Amino acid sequence: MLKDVFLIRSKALSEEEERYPHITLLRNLLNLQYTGKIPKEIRQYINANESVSFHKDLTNLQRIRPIGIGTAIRRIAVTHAMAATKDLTSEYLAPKQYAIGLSSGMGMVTQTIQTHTSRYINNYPNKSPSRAILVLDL
Amino acid sequence: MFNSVSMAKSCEVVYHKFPHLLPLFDVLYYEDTRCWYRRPDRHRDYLLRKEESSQGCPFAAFLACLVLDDVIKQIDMELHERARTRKNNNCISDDGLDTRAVVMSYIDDTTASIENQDLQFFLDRFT
Repeated sequence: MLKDVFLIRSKALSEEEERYPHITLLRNLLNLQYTGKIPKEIRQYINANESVSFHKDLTNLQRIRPIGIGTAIRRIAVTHAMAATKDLTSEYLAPKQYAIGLSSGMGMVTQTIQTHTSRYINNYPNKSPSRAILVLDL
Repeated sequence: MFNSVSMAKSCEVVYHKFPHLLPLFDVLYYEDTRCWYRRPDRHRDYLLRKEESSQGCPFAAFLACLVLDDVIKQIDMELHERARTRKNNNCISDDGLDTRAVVMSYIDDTTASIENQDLQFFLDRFT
């Protein structure tokens, strides 16, 4: 069914498309995702997950961590979309979020916190620190 | 954290701020998704995932950032207001900048440098 959907052609293929038919198929598939035109019948194959479960505790096998891994085509589509909108997303998430659109975001967080630690916490030999550093694992 | 982000809230933020990503969000998250697994008898079966994103999906981290960013920016604004009030009351500042809090996130890893007087307020607001 997937093949039938993506082989629909509204015009003659160009020479390049003839030479690389799989690239054309992939592009058609991605375009359908970006425009939300994936037929309902096959959405379940695009947004499905493969479940893998890991034991969290060797002494208690009832404790497991279930993980749903998305399909490869989903990863390709989203990665491309995020790369294309990197500037917009980083502008919106600034100045609090350092993971998107910055090449050294983690370094900035680390250095800022190191500076605050040395300036407001470790640099107070005779009096109490004026601040606390909180690291939240959400 | 990003496995438990509300899809309704994510959808709202995407709709208002990134409408060009809405069709993709719709394809991936609008409906319950199937989570396939293999039963002990080797047959494959699936569960329906209703309110979660996928591990390994780059969109999941982005959605978590959007939702968390809303929360953090709101708290940060309130912390700045408290700092401004302290300055107006002539409280002693440790940084010359109203003892301003610094809150930074790397996806869901949030780190904050908080003035002692704001500590309880920050924790109360965050939880």
